[in-house]
Amino acid sequence: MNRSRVHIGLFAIGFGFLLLPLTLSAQDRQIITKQITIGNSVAELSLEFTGDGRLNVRFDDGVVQVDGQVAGRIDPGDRLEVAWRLLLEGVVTLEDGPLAERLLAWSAPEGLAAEVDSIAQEIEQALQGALESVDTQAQNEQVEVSVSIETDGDVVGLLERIPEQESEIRNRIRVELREEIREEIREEIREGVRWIARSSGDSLGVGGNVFLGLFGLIGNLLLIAVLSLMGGVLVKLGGGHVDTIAETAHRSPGRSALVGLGGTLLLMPVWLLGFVGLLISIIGIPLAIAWLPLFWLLVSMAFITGFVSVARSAGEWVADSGFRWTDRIQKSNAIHTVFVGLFVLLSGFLIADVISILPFSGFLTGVLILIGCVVTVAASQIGFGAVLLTMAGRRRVSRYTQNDTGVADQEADSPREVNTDEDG
Amino acid sequence: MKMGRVLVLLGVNALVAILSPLDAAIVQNSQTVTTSQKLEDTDEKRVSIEFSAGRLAIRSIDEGLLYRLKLRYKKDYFKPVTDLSGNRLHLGVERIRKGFSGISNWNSSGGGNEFDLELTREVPMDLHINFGAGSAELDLGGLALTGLEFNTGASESRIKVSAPNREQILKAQFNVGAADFQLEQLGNLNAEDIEINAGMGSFEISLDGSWQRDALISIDMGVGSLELHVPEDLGFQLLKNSFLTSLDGVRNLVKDGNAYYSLNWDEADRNVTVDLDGAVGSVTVRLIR
Repeated sequence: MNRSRVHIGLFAIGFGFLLLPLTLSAQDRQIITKQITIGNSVAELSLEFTGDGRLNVRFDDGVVQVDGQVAGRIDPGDRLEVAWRLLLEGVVTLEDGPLAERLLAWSAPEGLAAEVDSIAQEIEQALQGALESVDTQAQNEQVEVSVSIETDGDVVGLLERIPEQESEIRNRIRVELREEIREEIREEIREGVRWIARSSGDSLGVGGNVFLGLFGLIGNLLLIAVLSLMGGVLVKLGGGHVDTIAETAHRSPGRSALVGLGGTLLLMPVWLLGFVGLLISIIGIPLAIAWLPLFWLLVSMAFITGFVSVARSAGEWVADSGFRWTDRIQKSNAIHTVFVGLFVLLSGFLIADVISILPFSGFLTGVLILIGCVVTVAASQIGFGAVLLTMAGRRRVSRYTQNDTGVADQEADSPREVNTDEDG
Repeated sequence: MKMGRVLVLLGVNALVAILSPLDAAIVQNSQTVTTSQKLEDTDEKRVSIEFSAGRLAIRSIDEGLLYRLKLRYKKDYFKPVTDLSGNRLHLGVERIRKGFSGISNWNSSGGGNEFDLELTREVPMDLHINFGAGSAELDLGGLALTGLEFNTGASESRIKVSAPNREQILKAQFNVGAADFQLEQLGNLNAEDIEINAGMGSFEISLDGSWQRDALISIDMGVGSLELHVPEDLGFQLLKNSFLTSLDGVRNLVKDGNAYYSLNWDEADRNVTVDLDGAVGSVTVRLIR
């Protein structure tokens, strides 16, 4: 009798030891990774447990997913979503036990619509399943071993349900995939249409071309008007200086262009050296800071002044050309001459704008734009060079002319008289 | 070459600053991710951090976690990366869309990108940080660092080592483009070779903290001002090889050719040598108690 008791005792202890690792391993299950994502449309909780267990609950723009499966749709900002977001904000700083405790204690708000309530229940069940399994899983494992033999029917019932669930999951995946593919195709088409609309005016038809052409034309005319006004102001304020620049550009365009090109290439080194030079001296440090933007401001002014001066020369040339309609140009009026000059210099762009209205005019438009670019760059370089040569119009440039014998003579430019009242 | 790089960085910085107001609408798309990883072992890890622009903060944590990261980013432009593979931990944001808008608003009213990271004290780590632009506030005190590399483009960075490093670093490297850069309590870093490559800006380096061994700090500076804060009880030597660099605050140092020594150089428990190679700027040495 005593012996059998001892046997039973030993058996119980042995059985206990056998179960111990199982129980311990289950109790050791811990949350190893927690990730909470909160955005305007997203509120997501992802947990990873020891032993590859995972839990993911995601609210994304009204779509609620539990472990990657769509649980349902709600209106964004629904009470369920608000409650879920509050929960996530509350557990951001929690880990392990306190985190699990808080998540388990969560319950959806009362009085939700039936459909939303079923989603809430699914979330609650997922939380319970993932977080309570730490303790219950161990019990279930032990119970399943002993009970499954006695309750065969339950196991069979469970096995019978698996194919049903499988088919349900398959259907759900099929529906979701179809939805996703449709949405992707829709988005691709939308993106394609946007790209075409952006990149090609031709594809928008004649109406689109007319609109784009007129838009470009108005823009260029506005640019001419603004530059003409600036030119007028420059001539009024700068007077003789602008005249000197214009004259230099007119008389020595090649030399001005070369100087302009050289000057343009030297802009960056001069800017850097000036900055470093100012930086060396302590007193120069504040100046060095001012130098950085000021230099480019001066360069921009020089380019604009040079360009306007070249435009003025071009305007005067047109006025002197003897065409009938050029009689109306008042050479004494700086705005007039600059306006006409700019019109001539930018005529490539203006004609391109008009031509582009016509269908199938892409090539011709391109050629005209290219001509406009070349003329503009050349005029800019000549003007900038003239500004540099004349030191912003303060110095008259000597020029070389060839006399009849072919010997180069230096001839100082005589100061040009500026008579603004020439034509009344 | 270096100058060119610095200027490009400056240009980018300026462009970003100019474009920042355009970004207001995108702020609405910012998303916050908080993620943490439980500490499972104490094997040495190589930790790499990538953050292109915004506000970066790193400090130590002591809660049984390997790390805790709070990340705010624009979901249209970035996606978070948290990857622990073996002994490599990679944290950061990965760019999924081009454009400045994603990075351009770090200085606007609190709506910008944020990378707030806490790292465990328990695990020895070789830490590599790549930070593009913005402001960085790093307190590496108490971490167990076996290596350190900090790379930044255009930023306002303050790195503090508030408590001694639990491990030893053979070489620590700081590569800074155009920045307002502060390095505090460098002695606590427990590194014997520290390399600082600085392009342009204002640099402030404090040699306080607890030096465990003699150390060499190599500073290669392009254009800017450098301020060195040297504890009075530390043996200090400055080797200056510079082109156009003024030097102030060396009245209490002994000059020997290009070298300047503190008076206690021969008696001090720990000696630190600063080897400065600078192009243009100013260097100021301040003795601190």
